[in-house]
Amino acid sequence: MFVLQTILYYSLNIIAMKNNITGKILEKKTYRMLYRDGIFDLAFGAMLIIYSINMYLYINNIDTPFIMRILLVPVVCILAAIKLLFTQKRIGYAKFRRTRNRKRLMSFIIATAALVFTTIIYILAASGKMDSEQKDAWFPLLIEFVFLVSVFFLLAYFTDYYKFYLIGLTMGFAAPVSKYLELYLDTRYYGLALAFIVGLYLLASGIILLITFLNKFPKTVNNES
Amino acid sequence: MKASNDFSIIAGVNRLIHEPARMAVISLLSVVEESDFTFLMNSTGLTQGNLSSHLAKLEEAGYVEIKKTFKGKRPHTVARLTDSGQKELNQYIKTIKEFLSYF
Repeated sequence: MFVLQTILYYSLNIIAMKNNITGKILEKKTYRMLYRDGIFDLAFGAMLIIYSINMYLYINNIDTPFIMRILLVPVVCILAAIKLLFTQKRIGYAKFRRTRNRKRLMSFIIATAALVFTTIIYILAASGKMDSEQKDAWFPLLIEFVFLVSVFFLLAYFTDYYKFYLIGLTMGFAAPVSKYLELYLDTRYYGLALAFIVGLYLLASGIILLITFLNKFPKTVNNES
Repeated sequence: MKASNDFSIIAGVNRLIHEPARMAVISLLSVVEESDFTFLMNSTGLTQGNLSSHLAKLEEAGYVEIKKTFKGKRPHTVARLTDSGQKELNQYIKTIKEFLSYF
């Protein structure tokens, strides 16, 4: 009992370091409970693996089946359904404060802006209005690297999902850096391998988290008192 | 004398909040707007009976407001920290922080 109280006192000391008692760290830890089911890990692991497979097919001039191009959509829908119908019910519901809602809004804005920007660039490249195969185009690759890393790092900050840092770095190295190195070394597959490996790690992490979650948080009993 | 005042600071701490389980509940409620029973139970690791008992004590003291509704046929309990509860928690943290600074 005394040990528990001591731990509590020191924890409070760390939390209340600032003169303003905001509970910022505690709020983050509480919010991050929502990631304990591993659904986010599964979604982004799937994203990286599908990306690496699609890029492999593209590099080898193999026709990418239509299902592969859109595979991420049903995967994300299934995972969202699992979250809403199973895991969210088990963990319970908490309405977070306005500061968290602002962070959620910011992350939504960043993700949407990044998606729109990427779509525009893709359309420009596909329509030939932007030369995507310049040999000495290190500057656009640098911009792409900075863009990818910045977007994911910002998302990591606003969502408190720290694996976004890893995903950002992976995307940054898998695409632009790999393409740059390709000019000098025959490293076409290194970037894909990195994305695939990190994707596998996230998938494995997601599966372990989900199994642990389902064991630790069984279906709630009806009789709350 | 100052020495006895320093010790009386900690001796006079709010015992209702001071209890570890209630401290966990009230801390959690201080960082969210409201939380249902399941989330409180899963976050604090308390059993149903234990949590119910502590919530009842906090509600009796006016630190926590509890709303009981039904979701379909299932009871759904939502708790939120009152202004009085937030004030007491802040005072408690301030007291503990001050006392810990003596070490």
